[in-house]
Amino acid sequence: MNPNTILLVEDNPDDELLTLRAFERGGIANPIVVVRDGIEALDYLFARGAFAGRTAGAPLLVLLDLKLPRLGGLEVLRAVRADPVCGTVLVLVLTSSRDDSDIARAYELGANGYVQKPVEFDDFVRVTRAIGTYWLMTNVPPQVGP
Amino acid sequence: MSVDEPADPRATQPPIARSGEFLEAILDNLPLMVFVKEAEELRYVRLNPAGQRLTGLDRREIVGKTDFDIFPPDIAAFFREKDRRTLEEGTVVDIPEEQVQTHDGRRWLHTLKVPIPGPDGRPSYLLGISLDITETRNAQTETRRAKEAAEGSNRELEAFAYSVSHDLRAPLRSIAGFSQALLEDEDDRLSDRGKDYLARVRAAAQRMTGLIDDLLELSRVGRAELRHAHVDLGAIAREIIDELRAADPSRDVVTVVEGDLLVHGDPTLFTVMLRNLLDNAWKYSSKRSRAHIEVRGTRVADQLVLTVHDDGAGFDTALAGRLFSPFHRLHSATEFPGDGIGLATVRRVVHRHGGRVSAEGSPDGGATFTVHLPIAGSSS
Ligand SMILES: Nc1ncnc2c1ncn2[C@@H]1O[C@H](COP(=O)(O)OP(=O)(O)OP(=O)(O)O)[C@@H](O)[C@H]1O
Ligand SMILES: [Mg+2]
Repeated sequence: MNPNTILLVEDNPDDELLTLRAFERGGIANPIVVVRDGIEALDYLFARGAFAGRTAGAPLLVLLDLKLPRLGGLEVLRAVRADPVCGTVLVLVLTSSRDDSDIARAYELGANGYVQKPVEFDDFVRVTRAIGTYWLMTNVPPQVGP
Repeated sequence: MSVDEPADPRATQPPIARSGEFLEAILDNLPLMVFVKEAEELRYVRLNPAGQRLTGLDRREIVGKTDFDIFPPDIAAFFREKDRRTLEEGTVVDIPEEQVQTHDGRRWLHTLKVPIPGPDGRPSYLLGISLDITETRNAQTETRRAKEAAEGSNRELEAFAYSVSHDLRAPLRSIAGFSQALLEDEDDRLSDRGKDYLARVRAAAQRMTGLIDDLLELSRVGRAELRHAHVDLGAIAREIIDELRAADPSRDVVTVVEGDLLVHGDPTLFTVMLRNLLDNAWKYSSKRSRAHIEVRGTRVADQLVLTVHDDGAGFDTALAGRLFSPFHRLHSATEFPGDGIGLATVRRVVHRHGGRVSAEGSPDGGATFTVHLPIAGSSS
Protein backbone atom coordinates (compact mmCIF):
# COMPACT_ATOMS: atom_id res chain seq x y z
CA MET A 1 0.00 0.00 0.00
CA ASN A 2 1.14 3.50 -0.76
CA PRO A 3 2.06 5.02 2.62
CA ASN A 4 0.58 8.34 1.54
CA THR A 5 -2.89 6.88 1.13
CA ILE A 6 -5.84 8.76 2.58
CA LEU A 7 -8.75 6.66 3.78
CA LEU A 8 -12.07 8.45 3.29
CA VAL A 9 -14.91 6.95 5.33
CA GLU A 10 -18.05 8.40 3.79
CA ASP A 11 -21.45 6.88 3.07
CA ASN A 12 -23.03 9.75 1.16
CA PRO A 13 -22.05 9.42 -2.53
CA ASP A 14 -22.58 13.16 -3.13
CA ASP A 15 -20.28 14.03 -0.28
CA GLU A 16 -17.78 11.51 -1.58
CA LEU A 17 -17.77 13.11 -5.01
CA LEU A 18 -17.57 16.60 -3.58
CA THR A 19 -14.78 15.65 -1.20
CA LEU A 20 -12.77 14.09 -4.01
CA ARG A 21 -13.36 17.17 -6.12
CA ALA A 22 -12.37 19.45 -3.27
CA PHE A 23 -9.18 17.46 -2.80
CA GLU A 24 -8.39 17.78 -6.46
CA ARG A 25 -9.05 21.53 -6.33
CA GLY A 26 -7.08 21.77 -3.12
CA GLY A 27 -4.11 20.24 -4.92
CA ILE A 28 -3.96 17.06 -2.89
CA ALA A 29 -2.62 14.26 -5.03
CA ASN A 30 -2.43 11.48 -2.46
CA PRO A 31 -4.11 8.22 -3.40
CA ILE A 32 -7.56 8.06 -1.83
CA VAL A 33 -9.39 4.91 -0.79
CA VAL A 34 -13.10 5.30 -0.12
CA VAL A 35 -15.06 3.01 2.21
CA ARG A 36 -18.75 3.47 2.88
CA ASP A 37 -19.44 2.38 6.43
CA GLY A 38 -17.79 1.77 9.77
CA ILE A 39 -17.33 -1.97 9.30
CA GLU A 40 -15.65 -1.49 5.93
CA ALA A 41 -13.40 1.13 7.49
CA LEU A 42 -12.23 -1.29 10.16
CA ASP A 43 -11.88 -4.09 7.57
CA TYR A 44 -9.57 -1.83 5.61
CA LEU A 45 -7.57 -0.63 8.59
CA PHE A 46 -7.18 -4.11 10.05
CA ALA A 47 -6.61 -5.65 6.57
CA ARG A 48 -9.38 -8.17 6.95
CA GLY A 49 -12.68 -9.10 5.29
CA ALA A 50 -12.82 -7.65 1.79
CA PHE A 51 -9.39 -6.13 2.40
CA ALA A 52 -7.77 -9.30 3.77
CA GLY A 53 -5.31 -9.38 0.91
CA ARG A 54 -4.10 -5.80 0.93
CA THR A 55 -0.49 -5.08 1.63
CA ALA A 56 0.17 -4.16 5.21
CA GLY A 57 0.49 -0.61 6.49
CA ALA A 58 -1.78 2.07 7.80
CA PRO A 59 -2.93 5.03 5.72
CA LEU A 60 -1.35 8.42 6.28
CA LEU A 61 -4.66 9.91 7.27
CA VAL A 62 -8.20 8.75 7.96
CA LEU A 63 -11.05 11.17 7.21
CA LEU A 64 -13.92 9.90 9.26
CA ASP A 65 -17.59 10.80 9.02
CA LEU A 66 -19.58 10.27 12.22
CA LYS A 67 -22.98 9.30 10.87
CA LEU A 68 -22.26 5.99 9.18
CA PRO A 69 -24.32 2.89 8.49
CA ARG A 70 -23.66 -0.32 10.43
CA LEU A 71 -20.97 1.11 12.70
CA GLY A 72 -20.78 4.80 13.61
CA GLY A 73 -17.68 6.92 13.33
CA LEU A 74 -17.13 7.20 17.06
CA GLU A 75 -17.15 3.40 17.39
CA VAL A 76 -14.68 3.14 14.53
CA LEU A 77 -12.45 5.62 16.33
CA ARG A 78 -12.67 3.66 19.56
CA ALA A 79 -11.78 0.40 17.80
CA VAL A 80 -8.85 1.98 15.95
CA ARG A 81 -7.39 3.53 19.10
CA ALA A 82 -7.64 0.20 20.91
CA ASP A 83 -5.65 -1.56 18.21
CA PRO A 84 -1.97 -2.16 18.95
CA VAL A 85 -0.95 -1.91 15.30
CA CYS A 86 -2.77 1.08 13.83
CA GLY A 87 -3.78 2.69 17.11
CA THR A 88 -1.78 5.85 16.39
CA VAL A 89 -2.96 6.51 12.84
CA LEU A 90 -4.01 10.13 12.20
CA VAL A 91 -7.78 10.48 12.31
CA LEU A 92 -9.61 13.66 11.33
CA VAL A 93 -13.32 13.70 11.92
CA LEU A 94 -14.98 15.28 8.87
CA THR A 95 -18.70 15.57 9.44
CA SER A 96 -21.87 17.63 9.18
CA SER A 97 -22.43 17.70 12.89
CA ARG A 98 -21.18 20.41 15.16
CA ASP A 99 -22.85 18.97 18.19
CA ASP A 100 -20.80 19.91 21.23
CA SER A 101 -21.14 16.43 22.63
CA ASP A 102 -19.97 14.87 19.35
CA ILE A 103 -16.91 17.09 19.37
CA ALA A 104 -16.16 16.28 22.99
CA ARG A 105 -16.62 12.54 22.43
CA ALA A 106 -14.42 12.55 19.33
CA TYR A 107 -11.53 14.18 21.17
CA GLU A 108 -12.06 11.97 24.19
CA LEU A 109 -11.73 8.94 21.95
CA GLY A 110 -8.52 10.32 20.49
CA ALA A 111 -9.40 12.14 17.28
CA ASN A 112 -6.51 14.30 16.01
CA GLY A 113 -8.87 16.93 14.69
CA TYR A 114 -12.49 17.80 14.03
CA VAL A 115 -13.63 19.53 10.86
CA GLN A 116 -17.18 20.46 9.97
CA LYS A 117 -17.97 19.92 6.30
CA PRO A 118 -18.72 23.36 4.90
CA VAL A 119 -21.80 23.79 2.73
CA GLU A 120 -20.12 26.25 0.40
CA PHE A 121 -17.84 24.41 -2.00
CA ASP A 122 -15.13 27.07 -1.98
CA ASP A 123 -14.95 26.74 1.78
CA PHE A 124 -14.66 23.01 1.34
CA VAL A 125 -11.70 23.50 -0.98
CA ARG A 126 -10.13 25.82 1.57
CA VAL A 127 -10.58 23.20 4.26
CA THR A 128 -9.00 20.46 2.18
CA ARG A 129 -6.13 22.77 1.33
CA ALA A 130 -5.62 23.39 5.03
CA ILE A 131 -5.71 19.67 5.69
CA GLY A 132 -3.17 19.23 2.94
CA THR A 133 -0.75 21.86 4.17
CA TYR A 134 -0.98 20.96 7.83
CA TRP A 135 -1.71 17.27 8.13
CA LEU A 136 -0.07 16.03 4.95
CA MET A 137 2.90 18.34 4.60
CA THR A 138 3.75 20.14 7.86
CA ASN A 139 2.84 17.55 10.41
CA VAL A 140 5.23 14.66 11.03
CA PRO A 141 3.00 11.60 11.27
CA PRO A 142 3.51 8.81 13.80
CA GLN A 143 5.32 5.66 12.72
CA VAL A 144 2.44 3.27 12.40
CA GLY A 145 2.55 -0.48 12.09
CA PRO A 146 5.13 -3.16 12.64
CA MET B 1 -75.04 32.91 88.00
CA SER B 2 -76.12 33.66 91.51
CA VAL B 3 -74.39 36.04 93.87
CA ASP B 4 -74.80 33.83 96.90
CA GLU B 5 -72.50 31.17 95.52
CA PRO B 6 -69.22 33.08 95.65
CA ALA B 7 -67.45 30.01 97.01
CA ASP B 8 -67.63 28.26 93.70
CA PRO B 9 -64.21 28.91 92.20
CA ARG B 10 -65.57 28.37 88.70
CA ALA B 11 -67.73 31.43 89.05
CA THR B 12 -64.92 33.80 89.95
CA GLN B 13 -62.33 32.48 87.52
CA PRO B 14 -62.37 33.42 83.89
CA PRO B 15 -63.56 30.57 81.63
CA ILE B 16 -60.12 30.10 80.18
CA ALA B 17 -58.93 28.72 83.47
CA ARG B 18 -61.41 25.86 83.33
CA SER B 19 -58.83 23.88 81.50
CA GLY B 20 -60.82 20.70 81.02
CA GLU B 21 -63.65 22.38 79.16
CA PHE B 22 -61.27 24.64 77.40
CA LEU B 23 -59.27 21.72 76.05
CA GLU B 24 -62.42 19.90 75.04
CA ALA B 25 -63.53 22.93 73.10
CA ILE B 26 -60.22 23.12 71.32
CA LEU B 27 -60.18 19.43 70.49
CA ASP B 28 -63.74 19.47 69.22
CA ASN B 29 -63.25 22.45 66.97
CA LEU B 30 -59.73 22.03 65.79
CA PRO B 31 -59.64 21.37 62.02
CA LEU B 32 -56.87 18.81 62.65
CA MET B 33 -57.32 15.16 63.47
CA VAL B 34 -56.30 14.47 67.07
CA PHE B 35 -56.16 10.97 68.50
CA VAL B 36 -54.90 9.36 71.67
CA LYS B 37 -53.77 5.76 72.18
CA GLU B 38 -52.72 4.11 75.40
CA ALA B 39 -49.05 3.24 75.34
CA GLU B 40 -49.35 -0.37 76.48
CA GLU B 41 -51.20 -2.08 73.63
CA LEU B 42 -51.71 0.99 71.45
CA ARG B 43 -55.49 0.86 71.67
CA TYR B 44 -57.43 4.01 70.81
CA VAL B 45 -58.65 6.07 73.71
CA ARG B 46 -60.07 8.95 71.76
CA LEU B 47 -60.53 10.60 68.41
CA ASN B 48 -61.73 14.17 67.91
CA PRO B 49 -64.59 15.18 65.54
CA ALA B 50 -62.20 16.34 62.82
CA GLY B 51 -60.63 12.88 62.95
CA GLN B 52 -64.06 11.26 62.66
CA ARG B 53 -64.90 13.37 59.67
CA LEU B 54 -61.60 12.62 58.01
CA THR B 55 -61.60 8.86 58.50
CA GLY B 56 -65.33 8.25 58.56
CA LEU B 57 -64.89 6.25 61.78
CA ASP B 58 -67.14 6.64 64.81
CA ARG B 59 -65.23 7.62 67.97
CA ARG B 60 -67.21 5.18 70.06
CA GLU B 61 -66.55 2.41 67.60
CA ILE B 62 -62.80 2.69 67.67
CA VAL B 63 -62.18 3.11 71.37
CA GLY B 64 -60.38 -0.01 72.58
CA LYS B 65 -59.31 -1.03 69.09
CA THR B 66 -55.85 -1.09 67.60
CA ASP B 67 -54.82 0.06 64.15
CA PHE B 68 -54.81 -3.56 63.00
CA ASP B 69 -58.49 -3.86 63.91
CA ILE B 70 -59.33 -0.79 61.84
CA PHE B 71 -56.97 -0.31 58.91
CA PRO B 72 -55.53 -2.48 56.14
CA PRO B 73 -52.37 -4.31 57.30
CA ASP B 74 -49.85 -2.14 55.39
CA ILE B 75 -51.22 1.06 56.88
CA ALA B 76 -51.58 -0.40 60.37
CA ALA B 77 -48.00 -1.67 60.27
CA PHE B 78 -46.73 1.75 59.22
CA PHE B 79 -48.62 3.44 62.07
CA ARG B 80 -47.41 0.84 64.53
CA GLU B 81 -43.81 1.31 63.58
CA LYS B 82 -44.02 5.10 64.10
CA ASP B 83 -45.89 4.64 67.39
CA ARG B 84 -43.15 2.34 68.68
CA ARG B 85 -40.49 4.80 67.70
CA THR B 86 -42.26 7.66 69.41
CA LEU B 87 -42.64 5.73 72.62
CA GLU B 88 -39.14 4.28 72.58
CA GLU B 89 -37.40 7.53 71.83
CA GLY B 90 -39.67 9.50 74.10
CA THR B 91 -39.64 12.46 71.72
CA VAL B 92 -41.95 13.99 69.15
CA VAL B 93 -41.80 12.20 65.82
CA ASP B 94 -42.61 14.19 62.70
CA ILE B 95 -44.04 12.16 59.82
CA PRO B 96 -44.22 14.55 56.85
CA GLU B 97 -46.19 12.12 54.69
CA GLU B 98 -48.20 9.07 55.54
CA GLN B 99 -51.30 7.46 54.13
CA VAL B 100 -54.51 6.61 55.91
CA GLN B 101 -57.50 4.60 54.77
CA THR B 102 -60.70 6.67 54.92
CA HIS B 103 -64.28 6.18 53.87
CA ASP B 104 -63.42 7.77 50.52
CA GLY B 105 -60.13 6.15 49.72
CA ARG B 106 -56.63 6.73 50.90
CA ARG B 107 -55.57 10.19 51.95
CA TRP B 108 -52.25 11.77 52.80
CA LEU B 109 -51.47 13.09 56.27
CA HIS B 110 -48.74 15.09 57.87
CA THR B 111 -48.61 13.74 61.38
CA LEU B 112 -46.90 14.54 64.65
CA LYS B 113 -46.76 11.80 67.29
CA VAL B 114 -46.11 12.87 70.85
CA PRO B 115 -45.40 10.60 73.85
CA ILE B 116 -47.36 11.64 76.95
CA PRO B 117 -45.64 10.59 80.16
CA GLY B 118 -47.53 9.04 83.06
CA PRO B 119 -46.78 9.54 86.80
CA ASP B 120 -43.72 7.26 86.59
CA GLY B 121 -42.21 9.39 83.81
CA ARG B 122 -42.57 6.61 81.23
CA PRO B 123 -44.98 7.31 78.34
CA SER B 124 -48.44 6.17 79.17
CA TYR B 125 -50.26 7.69 76.20
CA LEU B 126 -49.48 8.53 72.64
CA LEU B 127 -50.95 11.71 71.20
CA GLY B 128 -51.29 12.10 67.45
CA ILE B 129 -52.04 15.26 65.48
CA SER B 130 -52.64 14.97 61.74
CA LEU B 131 -53.17 17.48 58.98
CA ASP B 132 -54.81 16.28 55.75
CA ILE B 133 -52.35 17.27 53.02
CA THR B 134 -53.94 15.32 50.18
CA GLU B 135 -55.03 18.35 48.16
CA THR B 136 -51.74 20.23 48.48
CA ARG B 137 -49.83 17.09 47.69
CA ASN B 138 -51.93 16.36 44.61
CA ALA B 139 -51.56 19.92 43.42
CA GLN B 140 -47.79 19.73 43.87
CA THR B 141 -47.58 16.43 42.02
CA GLU B 142 -49.72 17.90 39.27
CA THR B 143 -47.52 20.98 38.94
CA ARG B 144 -44.37 18.91 38.99
CA ARG B 145 -45.73 16.55 36.38
CA ALA B 146 -46.83 19.42 34.15
CA LYS B 147 -43.45 21.08 34.52
CA GLU B 148 -41.61 17.86 33.71
CA ALA B 149 -43.81 17.24 30.71
CA ALA B 150 -43.24 20.76 29.44
CA GLU B 151 -39.51 20.50 29.97
CA GLY B 152 -39.44 17.09 28.35
CA SER B 153 -41.29 18.17 25.24
CA ASN B 154 -39.19 21.32 25.08
CA ARG B 155 -36.01 19.30 25.15
CA GLU B 156 -37.42 16.92 22.59
CA LEU B 157 -38.31 19.81 20.34
CA GLU B 158 -34.85 21.32 20.70
CA ALA B 159 -33.22 17.99 19.92
CA PHE B 160 -35.52 17.56 16.95
CA ALA B 161 -34.75 21.02 15.61
CA TYR B 162 -31.10 20.28 16.09
CA SER B 163 -31.02 17.00 14.24
CA VAL B 164 -33.23 18.31 11.46
CA SER B 165 -30.96 21.28 10.93
CA HIS B 166 -28.04 18.91 10.65
CA ASP B 167 -29.73 16.61 8.23
CA LEU B 168 -30.68 19.60 6.10
CA ARG B 169 -27.05 20.52 5.63
CA ALA B 170 -26.13 17.40 3.67
CA PRO B 171 -28.51 17.97 0.73
CA LEU B 172 -27.62 21.66 0.78
CA ARG B 173 -24.00 20.74 0.38
CA SER B 174 -24.95 18.80 -2.73
CA ILE B 175 -27.03 21.65 -4.13
CA ALA B 176 -24.32 24.24 -3.52
CA GLY B 177 -21.46 21.97 -4.53
CA PHE B 178 -22.85 20.58 -7.76
CA SER B 179 -24.29 23.86 -9.02
CA GLN B 180 -20.84 25.33 -8.59
CA ALA B 181 -19.28 22.29 -10.28
CA LEU B 182 -21.62 22.84 -13.19
CA LEU B 183 -20.65 26.51 -13.40
CA GLU B 184 -16.98 25.58 -13.38
CA ASP B 185 -16.94 22.52 -15.60
CA GLU B 186 -19.58 23.45 -18.16
CA ASP B 187 -18.85 27.15 -18.31
CA ASP B 188 -18.47 27.27 -22.09
CA ARG B 189 -21.65 25.34 -22.74
CA LEU B 190 -23.93 27.34 -20.45
CA SER B 191 -25.86 30.32 -21.74
CA ASP B 192 -25.74 33.50 -19.68
CA ARG B 193 -29.25 32.81 -18.60
CA GLY B 194 -28.29 29.30 -17.50
CA LYS B 195 -25.42 30.72 -15.50
CA ASP B 196 -27.73 33.24 -13.89
CA TYR B 197 -30.12 30.48 -12.85
CA LEU B 198 -27.31 28.50 -11.36
CA ALA B 199 -26.02 31.53 -9.52
CA ARG B 200 -29.48 31.92 -8.01
CA VAL B 201 -29.52 28.29 -6.93
CA ARG B 202 -26.18 28.77 -5.23
CA ALA B 203 -27.29 31.98 -3.54
CA ALA B 204 -30.43 30.28 -2.27
CA ALA B 205 -28.39 27.41 -0.86
CA GLN B 206 -26.21 29.95 0.87
CA ARG B 207 -29.20 31.72 2.38
CA MET B 208 -30.56 28.46 3.61
CA THR B 209 -27.23 27.61 5.18
CA GLY B 210 -27.41 30.87 7.10
CA LEU B 211 -30.93 30.07 8.17
CA ILE B 212 -29.96 26.64 9.41
CA ASP B 213 -26.98 28.02 11.30
CA ASP B 214 -29.23 30.57 12.99
CA LEU B 215 -31.75 27.88 13.90
CA LEU B 216 -28.97 25.73 15.29
CA GLU B 217 -27.82 28.59 17.44
CA LEU B 218 -31.34 29.24 18.67
CA SER B 219 -31.71 25.61 19.61
CA ARG B 220 -28.28 25.53 21.23
CA VAL B 221 -29.10 28.55 23.35
CA GLY B 222 -32.17 26.71 24.60
CA ARG B 223 -30.39 23.48 25.38
CA ALA B 224 -26.96 24.56 26.55
CA GLU B 225 -26.07 23.99 30.17
CA LEU B 226 -25.75 27.45 31.79
CA ARG B 227 -22.30 28.35 32.99
CA HIS B 228 -21.88 30.88 35.76
CA ALA B 229 -19.19 33.49 35.66
CA HIS B 230 -18.64 37.20 36.17
CA VAL B 231 -19.09 38.75 32.79
CA ASP B 232 -18.13 42.21 31.55
CA LEU B 233 -20.71 42.96 28.89
CA GLY B 234 -18.82 46.14 28.01
CA ALA B 235 -15.67 44.25 27.05
CA ILE B 236 -17.68 41.82 24.93
CA ALA B 237 -19.57 44.67 23.24
CA ARG B 238 -16.30 46.44 22.36
CA GLU B 239 -14.88 43.27 20.86
CA ILE B 240 -17.97 42.73 18.73
CA ILE B 241 -17.93 46.34 17.57
CA ASP B 242 -14.28 45.95 16.56
CA GLU B 243 -15.21 42.88 14.53
CA LEU B 244 -18.09 44.71 12.86
CA ARG B 245 -15.80 47.60 11.97
CA ALA B 246 -13.15 45.28 10.59
CA ALA B 247 -15.70 43.50 8.43
CA ASP B 248 -17.18 46.74 7.11
CA PRO B 249 -14.43 49.40 7.20
CA SER B 250 -16.20 51.81 4.85
CA ARG B 251 -18.94 52.56 7.40
CA ASP B 252 -18.79 55.71 9.51
CA VAL B 253 -20.22 54.69 12.88
CA VAL B 254 -19.76 56.55 16.16
CA THR B 255 -19.94 54.04 19.01
CA VAL B 256 -20.24 54.50 22.76
CA VAL B 257 -19.93 51.76 25.34
CA GLU B 258 -20.26 53.01 28.89
CA GLY B 259 -21.67 52.50 32.35
CA ASP B 260 -21.83 49.60 34.73
CA LEU B 261 -21.91 46.50 32.55
CA LEU B 262 -20.83 43.79 34.99
CA VAL B 263 -23.19 40.91 35.46
CA HIS B 264 -23.24 37.24 36.44
CA GLY B 265 -24.15 34.54 33.95
CA ASP B 266 -23.06 32.52 30.94
CA PRO B 267 -20.33 34.30 28.94
CA THR B 268 -21.00 32.42 25.70
CA LEU B 269 -24.72 33.10 25.78
CA PHE B 270 -24.18 36.77 26.65
CA THR B 271 -21.83 37.02 23.68
CA VAL B 272 -24.52 35.53 21.45
CA MET B 273 -27.01 38.03 22.85
CA LEU B 274 -24.78 41.08 22.30
CA ARG B 275 -23.69 39.89 18.87
CA ASN B 276 -27.31 39.71 17.71
CA LEU B 277 -28.21 43.10 19.20
CA LEU B 278 -25.13 44.81 17.78
CA ASP B 279 -25.45 43.05 14.42
CA ASN B 280 -28.91 44.53 14.20
CA ALA B 281 -27.84 48.00 15.31
CA TRP B 282 -25.06 47.87 12.72
CA LYS B 283 -27.27 46.50 9.97
CA TYR B 284 -30.36 48.66 10.46
CA SER B 285 -28.30 51.85 10.69
CA SER B 286 -26.40 51.12 7.50
CA LYS B 287 -28.31 53.71 5.46
CA ARG B 288 -27.09 56.56 7.65
CA SER B 289 -24.05 58.35 6.29
CA ARG B 290 -22.89 58.65 9.88
CA ALA B 291 -24.56 56.28 12.32
CA HIS B 292 -24.50 56.20 16.13
CA ILE B 293 -24.58 53.05 18.24
CA GLU B 294 -24.65 53.23 22.02
CA VAL B 295 -24.38 50.50 24.62
CA ARG B 296 -25.11 51.60 28.17
CA GLY B 297 -25.53 49.89 31.50
CA THR B 298 -27.02 51.06 34.78
CA ARG B 299 -27.71 49.30 38.01
CA VAL B 300 -31.28 49.51 39.25
CA ALA B 301 -31.71 47.68 42.56
CA ASP B 302 -30.49 44.12 41.91
CA GLN B 303 -30.86 44.43 38.15
CA LEU B 304 -28.57 45.48 35.37
CA VAL B 305 -30.41 47.53 32.78
CA LEU B 306 -28.62 47.28 29.47
CA THR B 307 -29.64 49.37 26.49
CA VAL B 308 -28.43 49.02 22.92
CA HIS B 309 -29.41 52.01 20.86
CA ASP B 310 -28.93 52.96 17.23
CA ASP B 311 -30.20 55.83 15.09
CA GLY B 312 -31.03 53.72 12.06
CA ALA B 313 -34.18 52.70 10.23
CA GLY B 314 -36.14 51.94 13.40
CA PHE B 315 -39.66 50.53 13.48
CA ASP B 316 -43.08 51.25 14.87
CA THR B 317 -43.03 50.42 18.60
CA ALA B 318 -46.59 49.13 18.34
CA LEU B 319 -45.23 46.21 16.32
CA ALA B 320 -42.28 45.56 18.61
CA GLY B 321 -43.84 42.67 20.50
CA ARG B 322 -43.60 40.34 17.53
CA LEU B 323 -39.93 41.02 16.87
CA PHE B 324 -38.85 38.46 19.42
CA SER B 325 -40.67 35.54 17.79
CA PRO B 326 -38.66 33.49 15.31
CA PHE B 327 -39.00 34.56 11.66
CA HIS B 328 -40.81 37.79 12.43
CA ARG B 329 -39.32 40.67 10.50
CA LEU B 330 -40.37 44.26 10.10
CA HIS B 331 -38.18 45.00 7.10
CA SER B 332 -38.13 43.36 3.70
CA ALA B 333 -35.20 41.23 2.65
CA THR B 334 -34.40 43.61 -0.19
CA GLU B 335 -34.24 46.54 2.22
CA PHE B 336 -32.25 44.71 4.89
CA PRO B 337 -31.31 41.03 4.56
CA GLY B 338 -31.95 38.72 7.50
CA ASP B 339 -33.73 35.62 8.74
CA GLY B 340 -35.63 37.00 11.70
CA ILE B 341 -34.09 34.65 14.23
CA GLY B 342 -31.59 36.94 15.94
CA LEU B 343 -33.97 38.53 18.42
CA ALA B 344 -35.64 35.20 19.24
CA THR B 345 -32.20 34.03 20.27
CA VAL B 346 -31.66 37.20 22.31
CA ARG B 347 -34.91 36.69 24.15
CA ARG B 348 -34.02 33.11 24.91
CA VAL B 349 -30.65 34.07 26.39
CA VAL B 350 -32.31 36.75 28.51
CA HIS B 351 -35.07 34.45 29.76
CA ARG B 352 -32.61 31.74 30.65
CA HIS B 353 -30.92 34.26 32.90
CA GLY B 354 -34.19 35.24 34.53
CA GLY B 355 -34.39 38.61 32.81
CA ARG B 356 -36.60 40.37 30.29
CA VAL B 357 -36.10 42.31 27.09
CA SER B 358 -38.13 44.95 25.30
CA ALA B 359 -37.83 47.09 22.19
CA GLU B 360 -38.69 50.65 21.33
CA GLY B 361 -38.37 52.50 18.09
CA SER B 362 -39.87 54.86 15.60
CA PRO B 363 -39.83 54.58 11.83
CA ASP B 364 -36.63 56.20 10.63
CA GLY B 365 -35.94 57.34 14.19
CA GLY B 366 -33.76 54.51 15.40
CA ALA B 367 -34.28 51.68 17.85
CA THR B 368 -33.51 50.95 21.49
CA PHE B 369 -33.41 47.47 22.97
CA THR B 370 -33.57 47.27 26.75
CA VAL B 371 -32.50 44.18 28.67
CA HIS B 372 -33.06 43.69 32.39
CA LEU B 373 -30.81 41.08 33.94
CA PRO B 374 -30.53 40.01 37.57
CA ILE B 375 -26.98 41.00 38.50
CA ALA B 376 -26.48 37.93 40.67
CA GLY B 377 -27.57 35.66 37.81
CA SER B 378 -30.28 33.06 37.97
CA SER B 379 -30.24 29.29 38.11
CA SER B 380 -32.71 28.37 35.37
N1 LIG C 1 -31.82 47.87 15.54
C1 LIG C 1 -32.92 47.66 14.80
N2 LIG C 1 -33.48 48.67 14.08
C2 LIG C 1 -34.58 48.47 13.34
N3 LIG C 1 -35.21 47.29 13.24
C3 LIG C 1 -34.72 46.25 13.94
C4 LIG C 1 -33.57 46.38 14.73
N4 LIG C 1 -33.32 45.17 15.30
C5 LIG C 1 -34.27 44.36 14.84
N5 LIG C 1 -35.12 45.00 14.02
C6 LIG C 1 -36.30 44.43 13.35
O1 LIG C 1 -36.62 43.23 14.01
C7 LIG C 1 -36.63 42.15 13.09
C8 LIG C 1 -36.14 40.89 13.78
O2 LIG C 1 -34.76 41.01 14.12
P1 LIG C 1 -33.87 39.75 14.14
O3 LIG C 1 -32.52 40.12 14.61
O4 LIG C 1 -34.62 38.71 14.89
O5 LIG C 1 -33.84 39.28 12.64
P2 LIG C 1 -33.00 39.77 11.41
O6 LIG C 1 -31.99 40.79 11.81
O7 LIG C 1 -33.99 40.14 10.38
O8 LIG C 1 -32.28 38.46 10.93
P3 LIG C 1 -31.13 37.62 11.66
O9 LIG C 1 -31.79 36.36 12.06
O10 LIG C 1 -30.13 37.44 10.60
O11 LIG C 1 -30.66 38.42 12.83
C9 LIG C 1 -35.75 42.59 11.97
O12 LIG C 1 -36.13 41.96 10.77
C10 LIG C 1 -36.02 44.09 11.91
O13 LIG C 1 -37.19 44.34 11.17
MG1 LIG D 1 -30.63 40.27 13.42
